[in-house]
Amino acid sequence: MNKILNYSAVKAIVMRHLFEWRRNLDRVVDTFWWSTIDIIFWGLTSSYIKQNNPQIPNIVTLFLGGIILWTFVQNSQRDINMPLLNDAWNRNLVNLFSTPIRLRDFIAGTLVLGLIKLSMSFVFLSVVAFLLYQFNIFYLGYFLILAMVNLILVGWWVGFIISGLILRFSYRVEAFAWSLVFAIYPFSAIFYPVDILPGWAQAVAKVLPTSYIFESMRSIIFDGTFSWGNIIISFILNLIYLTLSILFLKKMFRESLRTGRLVKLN
Amino acid sequence: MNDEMIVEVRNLTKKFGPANAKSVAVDNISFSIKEGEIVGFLGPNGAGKTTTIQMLLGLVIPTSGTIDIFHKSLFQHREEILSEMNFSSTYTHLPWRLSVFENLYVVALLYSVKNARDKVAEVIKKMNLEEIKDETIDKLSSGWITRVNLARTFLNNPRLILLDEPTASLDPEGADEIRKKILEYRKREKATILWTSHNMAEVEEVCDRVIFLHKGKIIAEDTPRGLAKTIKFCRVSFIIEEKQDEFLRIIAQNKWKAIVSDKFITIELVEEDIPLLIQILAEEEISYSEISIDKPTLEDFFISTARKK
Repeated sequence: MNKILNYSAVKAIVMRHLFEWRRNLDRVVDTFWWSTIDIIFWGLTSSYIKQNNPQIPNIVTLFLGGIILWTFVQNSQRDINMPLLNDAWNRNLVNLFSTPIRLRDFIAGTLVLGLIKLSMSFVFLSVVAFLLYQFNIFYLGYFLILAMVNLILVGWWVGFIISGLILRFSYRVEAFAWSLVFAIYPFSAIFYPVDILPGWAQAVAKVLPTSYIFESMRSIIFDGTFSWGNIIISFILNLIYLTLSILFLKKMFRESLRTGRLVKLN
Repeated sequence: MNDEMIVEVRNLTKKFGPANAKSVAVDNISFSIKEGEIVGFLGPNGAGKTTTIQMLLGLVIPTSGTIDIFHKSLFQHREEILSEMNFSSTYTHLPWRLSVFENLYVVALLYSVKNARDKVAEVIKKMNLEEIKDETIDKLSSGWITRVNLARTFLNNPRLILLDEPTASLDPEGADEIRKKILEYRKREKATILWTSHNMAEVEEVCDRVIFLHKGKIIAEDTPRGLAKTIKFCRVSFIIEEKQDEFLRIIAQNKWKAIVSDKFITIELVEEDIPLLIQILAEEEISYSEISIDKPTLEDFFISTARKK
């Protein structure tokens, strides 16, 4: 019982949400719809800008690459929080945590589930972008894998913080699950360089792992160069935030057992 | 039933709220449950039953006190202990977009049940759920949902089951069926059961012993019959059509309590006074067409204790 992970419990979490996912239009929409709308909207916008400003090279690549990569942050964060909220909405949290499952098994289950759904949405978006705009995301080469790993880690630590806040403040902050991640959106410099941000905003961008990834993406698109330094800084920042966010979530979970908030959330 | 203690709770206390204004939900309670015993956990709303059950499930951390289950500390051996327990409550729901089979399969995985699919099929058969196994929970009646909830409880062959009002929301026939299933399981597996209910007749029927909580404290602990016996008053009901006023005057003289509804009169009095009452009726030539004597029940104990406190 003291295994690092209870694989059966991890599988239970994955199966529970996959069973529901295929019957729940909301969840299917979350996985595909919004990102597809973004692809269509920004693809058309960037195509129009390119038509009228041919001197701006690779504008479509910049926008579509940025959108697809941002999907990794947004979807991986949401897939951490939705299983917790879903079980709370279903009044199933008491059933769930009265079994031998531990917090770490629950988290591991949500991570595996998130990766499965993220793979599906990534393949889908890549195909949509290619069919509509002949945009090939794999043009980014092995940087794509490094960026994906880092951006998924960002989604995870933001998700852990939000789950901790939900355990602490209950439904009052449930909207964070689909909104809080956008607090880092303007500072991540997805479509523009960090340099154009005001001084204070540049300071914020410097402590966000996302800004280093999107700076690297732009270097590849515009100059064909790639900085390992940016990837390493992003990765180190992610490890620090991931560790802190897990400690925060563990503390909030323990607090919710002490104060009875976990059962009240049910 | 043997004398091995399955549950041992010592000086359990739970306080909620900020440090300067804590409310006490459970106040220094101690009790034990033997293997194979069915213990009723009773008390009015807010007595602390649910909080105690939540602490027994590791869902709420006590402020102080200890809980040992299967001779092990719940706080040090949570997963090991919970794998041999299960819980069912009318007030928790199963994910409603999952089918019955899917729900049970997920629960079997959570308990690391070997050959989970086979075990689920076996429980579905035993609980007569075959006809609804592919239905999603949102399409089921409350009777079916209660049965599925109970089926969920048997998946890991638990040695200890905590039941929170397992038959609430069921019609009498459905409730009877559920009680039979639980008692069958207890007999077959020698399981220990902690049972909360507001249905006193049910508790009298199934429980070997009752623990009565009020405002977080245990105020009584005995067999259902033993607790009922502590109530000295019983009720004698008559249909009296003539000389009703005279009869009520005699009742008042003897300081008995009467409840009158048209020709129906119910007298509340100590059991030893019943012969005197019958004698008075004969002496005064007051005729009655029907008589029934209701001895005190667990429900009387419940109501009188809740009112007194």
